[in-house]
Amino acid sequence: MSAPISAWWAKGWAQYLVDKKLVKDGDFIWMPVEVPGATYGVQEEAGASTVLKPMNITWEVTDNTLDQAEVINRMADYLTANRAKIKAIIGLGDLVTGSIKRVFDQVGVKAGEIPVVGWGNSTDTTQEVLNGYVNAAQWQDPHATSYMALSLAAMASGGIPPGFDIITGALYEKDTAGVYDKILSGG
Amino acid sequence: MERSLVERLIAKPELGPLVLLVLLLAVFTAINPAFMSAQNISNAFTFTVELGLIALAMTLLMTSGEFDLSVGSVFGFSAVLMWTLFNTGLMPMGVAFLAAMAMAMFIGWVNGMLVTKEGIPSFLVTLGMLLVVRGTALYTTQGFPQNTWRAEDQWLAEVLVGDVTIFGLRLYMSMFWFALAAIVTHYVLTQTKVGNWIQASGGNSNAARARGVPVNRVKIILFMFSSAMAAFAGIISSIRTQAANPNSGTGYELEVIAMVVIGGTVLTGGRGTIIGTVLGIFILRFMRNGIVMIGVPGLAYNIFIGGIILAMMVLHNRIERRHMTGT
Repeated sequence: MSAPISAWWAKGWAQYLVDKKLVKDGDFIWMPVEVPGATYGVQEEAGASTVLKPMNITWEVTDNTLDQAEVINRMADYLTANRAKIKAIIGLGDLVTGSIKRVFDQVGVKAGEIPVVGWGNSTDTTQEVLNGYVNAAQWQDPHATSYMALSLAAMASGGIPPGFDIITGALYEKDTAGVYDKILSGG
Repeated sequence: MERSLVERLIAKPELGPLVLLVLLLAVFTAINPAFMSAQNISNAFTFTVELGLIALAMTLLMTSGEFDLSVGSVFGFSAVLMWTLFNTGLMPMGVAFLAAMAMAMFIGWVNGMLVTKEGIPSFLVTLGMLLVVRGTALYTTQGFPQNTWRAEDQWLAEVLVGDVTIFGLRLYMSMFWFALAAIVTHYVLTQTKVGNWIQASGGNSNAARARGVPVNRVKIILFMFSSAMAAFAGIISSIRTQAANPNSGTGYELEVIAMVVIGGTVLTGGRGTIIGTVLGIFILRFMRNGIVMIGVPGLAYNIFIGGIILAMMVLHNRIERRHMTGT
């Protein structure tokens, strides 16, 4: 059985940081999440760990709640306390990644000073990518994720075994963020 | 016999929380001197005063013998309502703000009427209202947050959350509103006839009624005030964070009640202190900030918060008992 999709995406985020030489052996990565213990965060941490562990990169997952004000407050506290040791941030949820600009502004961190990658299914994050606060963010098409799977199931029931993967998302950077910003804005 | 200054100081109910706050600040600063940096103090103040606005109103309500569990949901709902009215072009921002405040006061009025006229305990009434208001916010928005990006050019946003940097310390207007609210509520509670009515209503409501105190009216007004302050705080928070989420404010009611009780207001009513509440607000929020600053692991956060609250309540209780016995 293949890894869950969340783990697959997060493996890509960690690999992005390594490939772009944004982190190196022994570095520390901060992974804020809204609800620790929820399936998405757990799977994402597991996915990222497959890349980070072999490089002796350590990380910490922090609890930030689902409340925007509390998210910004907790993230600002953590960043103030650990700014020197954080070499990169992986946002395990949309709310935390979409709060990066407000947290950086509050703590006085410049856009791009700390590399950030993670979920990007909100206009907050597309704007952060466009403005350089987030290096790369994950888009996952909610409709395609469902109906492509149904198409595969229909094929399978018709006797055609699915022999391929269908990717229904993309890790976007500044050059393509406008496309996702338009989609998420309903344009 | 005339008591000495020290004896009078020790007799103050605010002494316990003051000692706790000083202790807390000293310990956290000793472990990590950056705890007292302008940057960190500025961060800690930002959100603290928004919760603090609700705690001030809750102090008056709890002194009158009632409490309000719906403040967290009103915090989230009012901001959603204001931004929905404004973003859809139905009203200019100022009018939308007034409409949201009026709706919050109506919620408080309903709470007050059900408690005083129907005789239902405020715990049950406001628990029900919490669910009604939160559910309304979720249903009307279908769970989606309202964007507040258009707040930048609005004079009202400047008045509510404009900021200024003094010696590296970024201070928001909400700090001013909090200070003003603290002074006014302290004055009302300690220097006015209304303050006496509030304490009498919470101490012994039957005796208060017999002496002509309009107990029901006092409580209804305090419920309305409590809801209005929750709405005010929610709107301020939504402008500052640039998001009005229907889930905002979840769990704030318990945190606010903890702030008030740690500050020395009696849970059963009859005695309250605004100065104590201000200290309680700072104790709880600086404690949350401090344990992150001293490097407590992210997922162990709640263990420490819970443990410190329990330890503080024990300490607070002992100091309080010594007051009572005069030792």
